[in-house]
Amino acid sequence: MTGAHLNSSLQSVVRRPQRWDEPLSNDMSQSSVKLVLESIHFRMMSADNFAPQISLNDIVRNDCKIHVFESAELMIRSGAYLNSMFVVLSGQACTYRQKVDGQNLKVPSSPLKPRAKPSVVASLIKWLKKPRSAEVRNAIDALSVDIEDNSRISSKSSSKKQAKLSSYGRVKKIPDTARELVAGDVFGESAVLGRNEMEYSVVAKSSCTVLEIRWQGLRELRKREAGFREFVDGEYRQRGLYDYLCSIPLFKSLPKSSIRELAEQALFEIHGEFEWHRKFKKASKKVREEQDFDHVIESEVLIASEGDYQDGVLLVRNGFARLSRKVNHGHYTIGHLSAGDFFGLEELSSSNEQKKNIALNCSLRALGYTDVIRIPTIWLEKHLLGNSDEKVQATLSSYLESSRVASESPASRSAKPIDQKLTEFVIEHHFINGTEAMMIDLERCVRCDDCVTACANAHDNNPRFNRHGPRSGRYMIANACMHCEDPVCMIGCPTGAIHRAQDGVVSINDATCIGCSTCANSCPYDNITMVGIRDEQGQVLVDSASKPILKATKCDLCSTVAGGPACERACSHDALVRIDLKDSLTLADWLDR
Amino acid sequence: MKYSTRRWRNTVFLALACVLMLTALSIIDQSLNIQQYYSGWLMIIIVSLLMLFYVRKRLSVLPIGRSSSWAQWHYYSGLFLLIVFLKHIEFRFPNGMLEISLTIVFAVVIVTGIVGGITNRVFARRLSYLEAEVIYERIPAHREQLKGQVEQLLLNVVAQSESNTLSKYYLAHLQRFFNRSEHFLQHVFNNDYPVLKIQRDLEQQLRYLNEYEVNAVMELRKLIAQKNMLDRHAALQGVLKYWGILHMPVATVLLFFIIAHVVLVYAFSGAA
Repeated sequence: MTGAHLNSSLQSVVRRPQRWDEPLSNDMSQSSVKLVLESIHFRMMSADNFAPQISLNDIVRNDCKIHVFESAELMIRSGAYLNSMFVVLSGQACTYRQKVDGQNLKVPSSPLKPRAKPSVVASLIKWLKKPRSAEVRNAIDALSVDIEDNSRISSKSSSKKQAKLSSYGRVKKIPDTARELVAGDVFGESAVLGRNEMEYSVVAKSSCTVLEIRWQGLRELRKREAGFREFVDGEYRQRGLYDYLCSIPLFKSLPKSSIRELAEQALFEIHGEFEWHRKFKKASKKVREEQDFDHVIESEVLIASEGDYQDGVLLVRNGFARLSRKVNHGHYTIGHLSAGDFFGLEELSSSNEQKKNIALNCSLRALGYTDVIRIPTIWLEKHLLGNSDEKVQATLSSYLESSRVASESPASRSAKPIDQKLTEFVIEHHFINGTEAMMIDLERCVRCDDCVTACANAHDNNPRFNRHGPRSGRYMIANACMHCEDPVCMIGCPTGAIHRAQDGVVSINDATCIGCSTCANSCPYDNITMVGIRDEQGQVLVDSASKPILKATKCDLCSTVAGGPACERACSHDALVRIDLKDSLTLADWLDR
Repeated sequence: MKYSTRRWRNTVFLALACVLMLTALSIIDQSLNIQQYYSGWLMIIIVSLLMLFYVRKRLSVLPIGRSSSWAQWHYYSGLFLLIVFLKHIEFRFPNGMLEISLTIVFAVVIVTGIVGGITNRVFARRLSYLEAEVIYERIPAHREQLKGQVEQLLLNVVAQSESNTLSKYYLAHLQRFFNRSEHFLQHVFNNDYPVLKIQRDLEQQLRYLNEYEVNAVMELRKLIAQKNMLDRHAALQGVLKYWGILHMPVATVLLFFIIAHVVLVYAFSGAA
């Protein structure tokens, strides 16, 4: 659709939406901006490092927000997904892991606050009132939909919109083990940079002022200010390493002193690229065009090579990694590792028992962007393998047994093991990144398109997925948003329109989407579609140059209707499932029905 | 739950329901009541519930259970309805004009239902064996694209080889094949003879062709195979898509016959 071909009587001219049409906060006055610019990190920044169209002043005004918290007020809960990083401007706060020391902090038991689901009646009314034309939006204030981001809590400086965000309440007693944050300290950086859940909760220790910097502003600051980037990245690497190690089940029985020692000795490594999707897309294209099947695997960063002798055990902290063995001239994928998984522990354990060096029996490659903690052999031999404590040995044996059962396919379970070709397919295409991939069993699918119709019914007559996509044998992964664990589509969004809600659902806020197509181009799976929008009269919305106003659209897991994903519920033939493909046990059960 | 377990469970429930229903109706018979009154109303209830499946399909935005569970209910209730119907007519073919019509319509509904169920399983599996997945609505576009590729290939050959033997053969024997979906019935019955014949006839032309044209024939063979795959998709997906159009309207007609039957029964025999 191009504006030149549209009949002017069928068009409605509106202003093209721009970045910062919707600032993070409407309360950022000039004095607030000045306050921020004089704070610890910002005063060291130079305005000359920023381009005139994206000035430091504008970034602070539009991508930042000041929150004021009272003492003991809970700011962020562990387990929440964030789209912003926070800097303490004044006062004191502290971070703690909710269950590390078994303290009852009087906070809600579930770290995740489910988003409010619409009622059955509301869903029915919405369906009955669906517009006749496709992609109808409110033309007057081109999309003034509230952004739903429950990860932030209310503050004193809240506007009306912010007041709707609920508070998590107060913490009765702050644990002694809590880590203190003072002016200049940051938090939430690991959740934003690692694109994963918060590993800790944050509570105000005294009355404190906190600056929220949304990802779009943080990205610019990191890009333009090397010092700030180094500080934030350093925090990302070091902060919470101890807390993270405490949360690993294998280390649960170890004394705290051993874990502190490990936190000092362990090395934090980052493999792959933060924006891995570009390289992956190129490699996938080459595979399609040149049938060069090893190109993808060879383009992945090698973390550990088969046949090498290890100098420690690797613990995956973020992202995914591929396990493969060399077979003749190709690579045979045997599985993958995700956060919390160890690599090389079995070999090291065998080496220790047999008193001889055993080489790694497979290679480990970063699938995209992988954070790894390298645990030194000396520490493992001293505190884990050579530990005579019965509890520690029982935990170790049980871990080694469970990893053996998982890797050798579940013999003790009734389900058949997953076909190797399918494993290869899922890892090759990085589908393990998805938490809600749409998998279709083509031997049961009768191509009735009930799933597409149901999706359209749930979204004002506009289907949000394509019943088409890559396939391996009888299984197809349809072009539907997988709500990735590492949603790279969010990286480049200039406005933060595409964001991850607290429950992990990646959504697009129409109000702030400016139709730049960055997310659609970044999605490695082609699951985001750009559409031209219309007003309630069915007229195509165009700008003054007659170019259509575009919006990014994708699956939102039917968050606006009751009952969850309509596609899955509508399939009469048990052919379609929304599934986390890295959960091999659930996948095996579904395949072996 | 595995399909085999579900199938066993549902079959056992169906068998139990049938035994209970037949026993109950026999007792009613022996007590000198008319079992047709009870079995008739039972059938009306079952037919209404079966029709609800289509309502559920339309109301996909409401959380009223998974469609697959409704489908299982639909299949087994349909089979139960068949047994109730046979008992209702006492396992004999009726003799009244309306009753004969009703029985025939009922038989058509049951047969289209069972055939549809089997077709779903068989055709879906056969489609999954095909090399590529094609969306039904896009088949004409793919066909046009393929036709364009063939014609471009032939134009190039004519320019390179300065011979029009192959293009003449295309116009005489292959143009129709590329213009529309062909061999519907053969595809439905999994018969590959038509495409093999096309390939064989084309090969027989090789002796008349020069080097450029022979190479083009090799390319043409691939395009014929692709067109054949598109035709198979069109045939199998067409049947899957439109069989319901037979089942659902006949079921609606059956509903009208049932209403007429009930009205007549109550009007002329007092129903009991």
